[in-house]
Amino acid sequence: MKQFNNDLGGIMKDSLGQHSSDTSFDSVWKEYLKGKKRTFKSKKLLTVPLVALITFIALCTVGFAGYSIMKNIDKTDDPFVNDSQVIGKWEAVDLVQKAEEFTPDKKAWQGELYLTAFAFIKDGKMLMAAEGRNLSTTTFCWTKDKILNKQEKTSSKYQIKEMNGSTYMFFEWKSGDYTFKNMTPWFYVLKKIDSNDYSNFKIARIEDKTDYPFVDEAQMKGKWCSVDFVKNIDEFKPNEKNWLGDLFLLEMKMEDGGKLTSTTTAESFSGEKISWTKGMILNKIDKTASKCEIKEIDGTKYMFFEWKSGDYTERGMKPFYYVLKKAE
Amino acid sequence: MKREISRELAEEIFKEHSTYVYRIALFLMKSRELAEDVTQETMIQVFRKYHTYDSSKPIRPWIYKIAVNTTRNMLRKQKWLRFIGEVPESDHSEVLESTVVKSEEEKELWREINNLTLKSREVIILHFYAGMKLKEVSDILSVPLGTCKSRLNSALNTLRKQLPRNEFDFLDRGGNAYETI
Repeated sequence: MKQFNNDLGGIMKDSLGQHSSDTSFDSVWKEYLKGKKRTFKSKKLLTVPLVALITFIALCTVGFAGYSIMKNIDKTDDPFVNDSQVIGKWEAVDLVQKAEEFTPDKKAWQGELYLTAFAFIKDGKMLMAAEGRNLSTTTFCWTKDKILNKQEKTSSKYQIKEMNGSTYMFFEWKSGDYTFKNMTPWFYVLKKIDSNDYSNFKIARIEDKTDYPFVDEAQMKGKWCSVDFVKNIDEFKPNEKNWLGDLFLLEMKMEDGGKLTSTTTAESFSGEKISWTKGMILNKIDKTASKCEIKEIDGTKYMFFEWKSGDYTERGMKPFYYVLKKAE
Repeated sequence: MKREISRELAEEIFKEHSTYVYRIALFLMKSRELAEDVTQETMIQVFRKYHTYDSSKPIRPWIYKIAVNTTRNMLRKQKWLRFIGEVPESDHSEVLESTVVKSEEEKELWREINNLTLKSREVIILHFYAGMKLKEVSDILSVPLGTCKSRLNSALNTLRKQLPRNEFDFLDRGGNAYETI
């Protein structure tokens, strides 16, 4: 005959029943109201700088190329499935951490919204307006329940809800915080403005003068390989890569008489429509004249090439600069 | 619309569930200090996420799910602290054994239970101690019912091998393992 309770539940209850938490409701409620977690204990406080240091060393060791290994890459090859309710223009009205935090009468986001509007076009195409500008082309496209960005490799869910007689879309905003820092995406809330067909929407474009005569400049000639992409020229540091993503432009070869061959991850291109002249690269297809500035840093020659993409021609944004290093 | 939890309701939930949460955490973490941390963090999460709780369902499994996830996160942090050389919390597995003064057999049982994997201990505590049915345990742990049964079987088999037969008849019965629905 056993002298003890031989039921496991009973044994556990007997043993665990002798233990109680010292945590009081008041302390938990106070922490809840403060909206932050329990403060670190002094012992654990040491861990924070230590973790930061190890992370820093790891990043330096792996190199910035390691970002391509660590970054989030979503599946973006979903086939197109129609969703007639999204067609038309939607204007951003808020940015919230969780969809259920949104209330139509009170804007939660205190600052300016980066995203201004989206226009959903049949067959999955989209237009986008950012920072208060007009609608223009975008690398976003859509299929039912998702907004995809094949260039940035993000797949964002969207959800449509009726609230107070208006139609709202909750769009998962996968910025660099998600791609590189693995942070949980927030949600843009967009309000439906119309259900128009934007297939033939006329996008306003900036067109540069491109009919400059050829002026030779010896130091521009040769092969240049891209090493970085910066917002401003003075941000470039030879031993630190500023741009975390892949570089689209790989190299440029400048030859006599203004002949230019440009190689990107997509193609290698040359011909009459693109050329170089002293201090400039001219593109007669996109109608852009990009400044080229050569600087010698720590004994090495670098070319800073103004990258006039659609962000400049269609969205009016200040161009970034490709930094190219002269090949031996 | 977001349902903010009232202080009265929060206090009621805390009174009713925090002790169980603490004991589950103590069993899984084997440390009083960490179990306190888990209890505090779990209850804060419960209050924060209360608006997502489906009130048509029982609240206990929902709270325990948060508790188990918080425990797992805390254990991950502990592993990391150990990895980077931060002095780990000392092992308190004797905490539970030492309080069971009834018999050597029970001490032996606790030692063997403490040697089980975390996944097995999660099933054991939720099923045998918290009284959750295996279907509820599988929901809490976000694993299929079959996986849950297999983890329980494997845990009981290990205990059967390690403990003298006939000392604990639940080992022969399998506890209430298959009272699932």
